[in-house]
Order: sequence, then structure tokens, then C-alpha cells
Amino acid sequence: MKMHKEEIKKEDGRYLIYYSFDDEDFARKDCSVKGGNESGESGKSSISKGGGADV
Amino acid sequence: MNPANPVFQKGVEQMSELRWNPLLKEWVITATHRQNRTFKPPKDFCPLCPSQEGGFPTEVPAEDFDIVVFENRFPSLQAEPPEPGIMGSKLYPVRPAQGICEVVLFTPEHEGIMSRQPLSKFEKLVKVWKDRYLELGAKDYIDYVYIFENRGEEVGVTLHHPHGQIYAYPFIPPIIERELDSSREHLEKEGECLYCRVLKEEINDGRRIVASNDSFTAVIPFFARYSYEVHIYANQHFPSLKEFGPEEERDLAAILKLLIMKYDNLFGFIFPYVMCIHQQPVDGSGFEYSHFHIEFYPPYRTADKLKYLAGSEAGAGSFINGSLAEEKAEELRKTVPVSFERLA
Repeated sequence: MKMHKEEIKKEDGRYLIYYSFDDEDFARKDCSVKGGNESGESGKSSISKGGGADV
Repeated sequence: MNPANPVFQKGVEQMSELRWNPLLKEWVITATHRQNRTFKPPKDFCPLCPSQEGGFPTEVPAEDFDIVVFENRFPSLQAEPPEPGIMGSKLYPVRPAQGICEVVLFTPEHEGIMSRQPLSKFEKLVKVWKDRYLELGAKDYIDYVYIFENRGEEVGVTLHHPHGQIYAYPFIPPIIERELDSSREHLEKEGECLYCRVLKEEINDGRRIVASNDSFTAVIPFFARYSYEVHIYANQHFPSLKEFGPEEERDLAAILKLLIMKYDNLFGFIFPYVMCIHQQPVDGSGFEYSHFHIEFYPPYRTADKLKYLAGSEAGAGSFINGSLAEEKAEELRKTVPVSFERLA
């Protein structure tokens, strides 16, 4: 994934930067996060339980 | 001072400087021109939307964009600040308000809700934050690059278009300096980063964890001041965004999106908060005892009640939290991370 920057000067002298990206890589990735949809039980074991959620 | 800047073309004397508070040992920024900033304009006159053909000129002279960063039109700090409008003294030092204030537009959509944005949007945002941290941090008059987001009128938002801000300060702001002093002292006494220790303590206990992935852990800390105050800590000792590789960038994006989805789904409305990124100062100090983390301060303590900073908080700096972090973390763990509109 590559990030591109294009900076312009506004009429009043302030800068503005357009950021754009090559998107191809993003679509193929998923990401699981523990704690996404769990039982909500407390205690040490809770953070390693549950299937997580794709976000 | 840039004379072309509209801030200085209003025919009104503008005052902007840093004034030292010797009692609290902190700089106060005066910026009288900010009284004139755009205040809750109607949607059709949003200055942060892309300019449309035939429409009024907005801040962004393009019909579409992905993420945009620009200098704030009403900056608290400026690269070329005016001379202080008042003479300082030995007791009351005064400095020019030098620094940089930027606005980060997350999306061209005026009503774009971040919890409904794709994960890729968050990943892009993390990359932009990293770029700004590096670029602004390279300037010799900048000591700290502070990235934050105010979300919702409840925390003072005056423009509803989704955006965050960056303040590049010529000093380390007081709360961050206090945190870093504590971490440095802990390192000297115990030989470890204080944040690493806090994270270890939270993971060992487990009750206050909200979510985690390979690179980050989200937790309502033991010492939370707000009911739904969540901190996201880097699992490794990464002082700043600079140390992040693609995996950390992706994992930070994932846990941010997850948390915001949970927040928005907690009570079924877009959950206001102040989001603050704390990391290593850019003055070269603190590599061993700075630890990248994000703090969220949501003002709601229940679905219809706000937490106000009143006598004890505002006047004495002593927070009273009317809830238990353990219970609130459980609530957030149980909250399904889907866009709330899908539950209707």
C-alpha cells in the first residue's frame, strides 16, 4: 500500500495536503479483534475467549 | 504573521501569545481571533465539505478527496506568529504563540459516520497521523505533536463534518509532561516503562479489558476518571507512531474501528468523545519512558446524563467517577460492534 501526498497553497497562504492511497491491499485483509462480541464475562480468561469480530 | 491570512484581515486588533501561569507552571494560549471562527453552520454552508461547482468556496477546492490536511484558518498557534500584544515580566513571561494547528478531514461526506467507514479508512488515517507526526516533529520550534479529535457538540464541536485536529506545540503540554515525569521516575526506580507496567497490571487482572489484538489493548483503566474512558495501549514499548510498521498500523486501525462501533452502539447514538493521542515528544526526549497510547474521554455517564467538570474537577483537579471501571468495561465488552443502524 502506498500513500501519495499533493500539497497546494491556498490563496491566503495556508497549505492544504491531499492524501490518496493505492487501495488494492486493503480489500484482501480482514482483522479480528478479541473482545468484539464476547460474553462479557470478567476475569483473566475473558480476553482470550470468544471469536472476536471482523471489523 | 502571514498578512494574507483572513484571520488578520478583519480590521480588528488580534491578540495571540503564550502567557505563563506561575501557579500551575503552564503556558496559556491567548488567541482572540478564535472568537470569530465559524460556529455551527448549516449543512449547505459547511466549510469542510468539498467545493462544488457553482457552490460557495469551501476549505477544500476539489470535488472529492480521500483524506485532507490543512492549516487551521483560526489557529491557536502559528508558524509565524505575531509579536505578543502585551509586555511580559519576570513573574509573567510571555512568548509568541509559535506552532502549527492543522485540521484533518476524515472523509468528504458531511454526514459520514466513522463507525460505518471501512477499516481501510482507519488504516489510511493512521498513516496520515504518522506522516504528520514525522513532518511536524521535524520542525525545530516544535516540541510536541498532539493529535486529537473532538466528536459531538457535547464536547464543543462547532463543525459537524467528520474531522480531527493536530496541535504542534512549542512546549510539552502539562498533562503529557506530568505523565512523562511519572514514567521517567518509575523507570529510574523500577527499571521499566510505567505504561508497560500499567498494561501488564490490566492484562493480569483482566476485568477492565474491553478488547485486544496482537498489537494493542483497549482498557478502561483502574484509575479512569470518566465512566466510559477507554485507553488503547501499544502492547509493545513503542514510543510513537514512528516505530509502527504495517502490522501495527493495521491493528491500530482495527481496534479503533471496533471501539468506535461499540461506543456508537452502546446507547444507539453517535457517541461523543474527546480522543487524545499521547506519544513521545519530538524534542528528542523520552524514548525509554514514552509509550504510544490513545485516550478517549466520552462525556456521557449514562444514556441521557452527561458528566460535567464541576467544582471538584474544574476547581481542584480531583475527579469523581460515579461508576466502576470494572462494570463499564464489561458493558463495553458485551456491546456488539456493529453499526447501530443495523440493530433497528
